Amino acid sequence: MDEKKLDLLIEQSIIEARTLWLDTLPHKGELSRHAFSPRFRMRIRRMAGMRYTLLYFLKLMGLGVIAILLGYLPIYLAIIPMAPMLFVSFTRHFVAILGAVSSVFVAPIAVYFLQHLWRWLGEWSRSREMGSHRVTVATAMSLPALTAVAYALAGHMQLPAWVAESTLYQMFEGGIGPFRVLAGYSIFKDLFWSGGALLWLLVYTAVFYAGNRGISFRPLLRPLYLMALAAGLYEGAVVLQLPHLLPWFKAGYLLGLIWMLCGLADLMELKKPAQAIWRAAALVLAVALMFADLTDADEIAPRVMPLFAQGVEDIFPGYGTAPIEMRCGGRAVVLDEVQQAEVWRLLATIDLGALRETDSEEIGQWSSAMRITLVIRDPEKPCIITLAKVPPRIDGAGNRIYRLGLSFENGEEYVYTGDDPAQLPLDLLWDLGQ
Amino acid sequence: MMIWLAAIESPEDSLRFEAIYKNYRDLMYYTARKILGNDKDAEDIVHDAFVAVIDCLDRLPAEVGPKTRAFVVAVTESRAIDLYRRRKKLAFAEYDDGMAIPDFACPIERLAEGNAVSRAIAALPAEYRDVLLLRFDMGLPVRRLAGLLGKKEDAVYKLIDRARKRLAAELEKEGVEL
Repeated sequence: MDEKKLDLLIEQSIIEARTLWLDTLPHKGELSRHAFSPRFRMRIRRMAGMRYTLLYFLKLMGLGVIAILLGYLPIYLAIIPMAPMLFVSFTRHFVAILGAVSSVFVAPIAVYFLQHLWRWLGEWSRSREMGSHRVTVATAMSLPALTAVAYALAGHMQLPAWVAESTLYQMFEGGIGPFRVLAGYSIFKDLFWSGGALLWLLVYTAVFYAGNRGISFRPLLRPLYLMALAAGLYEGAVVLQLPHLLPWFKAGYLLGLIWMLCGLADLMELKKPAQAIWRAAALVLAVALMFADLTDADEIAPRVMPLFAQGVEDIFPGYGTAPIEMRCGGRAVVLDEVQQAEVWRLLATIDLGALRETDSEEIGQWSSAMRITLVIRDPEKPCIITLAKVPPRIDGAGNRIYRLGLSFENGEEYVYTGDDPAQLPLDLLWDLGQ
Repeated sequence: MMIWLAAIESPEDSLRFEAIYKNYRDLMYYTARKILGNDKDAEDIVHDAFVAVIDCLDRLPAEVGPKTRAFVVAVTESRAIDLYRRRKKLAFAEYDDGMAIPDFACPIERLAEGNAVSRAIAALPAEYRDVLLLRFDMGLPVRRLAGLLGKKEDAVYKLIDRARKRLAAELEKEGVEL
């Protein structure tokens, strides 16, 4: 055998041989899609760097965030001329709403970062020969818990001054927007208004944690994704009840939801028939949601509405910490700590969106006996706020009409007129002043 | 993990790897599954093959195509056969044409076209065909082939030699003079 001649023949024919051989292999369309195990996918994604995983999350987020931005900008453009104070707090207010509405999209991002933080902590604990995997798990689990506790403290308790003034607390509560969003701030804020966000977090955490540990949770994964779907729809239902929303924003939100659900189908690497069913179901559910007449809208909307009252915090400097003196009917009362906390809580629930700007001095024409003046004794930013409550009057149709006035040192006045006493959270204030 | 993360150095390579993953993962899995007969082993082999692909990204064309397809399947097939042998406790056996090598050659009746040499190469047992493709089509030196296939260099030389002899025998049957 002439080896050189053989090698020459091989070199001359190898490409044709390759073509002949490849023709015998099934083509992409002929292959059924294999659902690789989470362990496999994790290894491959690690090989490709984090980009591959990130790509999925970007895909999940993209349209949803765009829809939110497009949907809310006009709302702000409409609100700003009516409420200059919102312009001042534009960034903060915007971030709060963005965070609240987009919790469904923020959750994966927050978990993504947490997940890498955990992994890093795991590597670190091993490198320090701490050995125990428990360190990672305990740290990981303590992060959401700490965040939730921080929020509970901020919202429901009178904080010691040194806590309120601490940098960490200020970062969290004080409004470094991206930090709040990325930290899942809105998730934990929502936590107190609805359980949906918590469910989201738990589901994402469980799914990605299991995947990253290489644990084959395949039988569990799909029910978990379905839970995520249910939670997403719940969140969607809450969002869609907001009275401020424009119809085309709703459409944008639903497009985002559909996109996300299709992204989940990709993530699950469903086989073709299942994927088609999943996508069709996502479409039907999303459209059904759009036209759904949710009878409990009245219950859902108020739970979300306080998120829109973030701007109130901005006009109450020293929120939650400054001493308050209440003047009423010619008397001055310095509130004790418990009363003060209650006042702040009530102030924070006032919905500026429900107030209308009035001609100045309208409130001044109300009976002085019906006014409450709050003097905020903040050494840096002293402020006087007058709240006036007028007893309900009966309109021509026999409805009881309530009015609430809010006036500020700079002459701005806002008044609520309507038949919903739930918008007048000042009964207690009034009682305190007597 | 850090070694793997560092394995792909540039964003371009990352994109190429991703394209290979998306286009050929099912074919690679199909190839490995056909030989090994179970999901877990097949996934392990596909994973090993992807690691090997990273090592040879510099040898692959910028766009995925027949050359890349042949490469990934050949690597997967070689590694799957290797694992199959180990499973059958044949790891230390000498290569021998008379040995019970599983016949993963492509069906000869599907190779009606082409010249006698290319038909004969395509119809060789899989491990012979794969090593010839990697050696002559990809132009990989024996040292890199050894790393790619998870064998020692001596074993690769021997495998190439046996592939040549087998091919020569097939060509003689076809009346091709060497």
